[in-house]
Amino acid sequence: MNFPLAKNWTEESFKELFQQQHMTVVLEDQSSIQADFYFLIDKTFEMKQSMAVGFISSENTFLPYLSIRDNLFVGSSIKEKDKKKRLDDLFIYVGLATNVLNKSEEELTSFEQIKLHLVQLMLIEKDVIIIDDIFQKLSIGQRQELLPLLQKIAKEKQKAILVLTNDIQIAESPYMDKVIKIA
Amino acid sequence: MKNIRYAFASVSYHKRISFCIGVCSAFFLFLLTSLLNLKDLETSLYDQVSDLINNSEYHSNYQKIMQLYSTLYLVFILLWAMLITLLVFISLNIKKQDMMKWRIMGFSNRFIVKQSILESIIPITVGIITTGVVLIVCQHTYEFILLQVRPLLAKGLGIKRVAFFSSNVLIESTPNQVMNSTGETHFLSLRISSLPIASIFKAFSKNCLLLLSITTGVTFASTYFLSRNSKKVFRT
Repeated sequence: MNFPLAKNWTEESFKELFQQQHMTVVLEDQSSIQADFYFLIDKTFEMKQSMAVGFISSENTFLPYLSIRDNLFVGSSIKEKDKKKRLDDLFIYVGLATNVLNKSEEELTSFEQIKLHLVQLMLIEKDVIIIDDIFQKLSIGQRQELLPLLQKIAKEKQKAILVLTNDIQIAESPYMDKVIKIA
Repeated sequence: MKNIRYAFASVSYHKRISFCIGVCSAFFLFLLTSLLNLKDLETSLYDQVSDLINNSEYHSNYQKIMQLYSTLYLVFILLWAMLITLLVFISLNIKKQDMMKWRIMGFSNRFIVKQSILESIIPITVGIITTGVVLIVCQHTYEFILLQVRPLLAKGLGIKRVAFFSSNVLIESTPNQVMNSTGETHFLSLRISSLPIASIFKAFSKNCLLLLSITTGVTFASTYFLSRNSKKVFRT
């Protein structure tokens, strides 16, 4: 596999890729996306940024032995009595119905999974969100709903969002603040 | 506490491998405790016999059998280390996806290693508790088994039986009869039928610590090795 980000990685790369309240997109080949996504996971761990960086993968990353609700609170220090309110607020924020919590992991749609991962990352207060090429699994309508939501999260919750994609339409969408082409 | 809850959830989700680890640990704990208690029995008998009779052949036999028990003990520990390494590798292979998910959720290698150790220790603890309960409840049966196994094991290990008295000495159980060459009567009382609970507990605790330490070491090393080589773990 190619690792374009690894090849060009310098001390300044982290700052260049992750800017608070910004949505940055890396446009690259399909074959490089997954490798770069995992490279970024490794890199952030090396940089001791692990607890501040969250990832949204194209694969389901909920632990199969925990309920969806428990998965959302993994790593958070929210008190039990405050959990319901926080969850309700964030579900409204991302546009999710609370009945998704009653679904099993297999019953969740890709879109619901992505939104749940966003809720999870907001609950554990990640400053940086790195997103794998999740758009392929979404319909045009869902993409049109997700992109403004990501921008809203970046601006209002003061997150730095990095999207890895090979889709030029995503890269050139008006919601992106910065495009890095390494294809 | 949350870590323990997640570990319990994982152990009950991956039932099969957890069950294997639990059963193997209970079996090996029983074997190792039995071996240490056999040594205790042998020592107890030797102490009592050596106070009464000075038999050099018995003394050398005692040393030989103690050495064989020690060798057997080491062999079982080695077997346990090999078996648990294999089981931990199988377990990590099954849980590879879960480890990747922890990483993607932003948890450090240290957390993953800690979680992995907890997930190995929980089924072993269940095995330890089960063995402990069995030893307490069936203490007499356990002692009986050891006493039955002792001569069989000695025979199997090629230890010859030693007669304590020469053939021309006659011992009778009734004191009223004139019996031996010096015209005196001897009562020989040897207590080998009961094993003090303290001995069982000591051997049991020693082996528990040993099994837990080996497992922790093996799990730590294998998880650390796998997560350090995350490219191999997560991209295959």
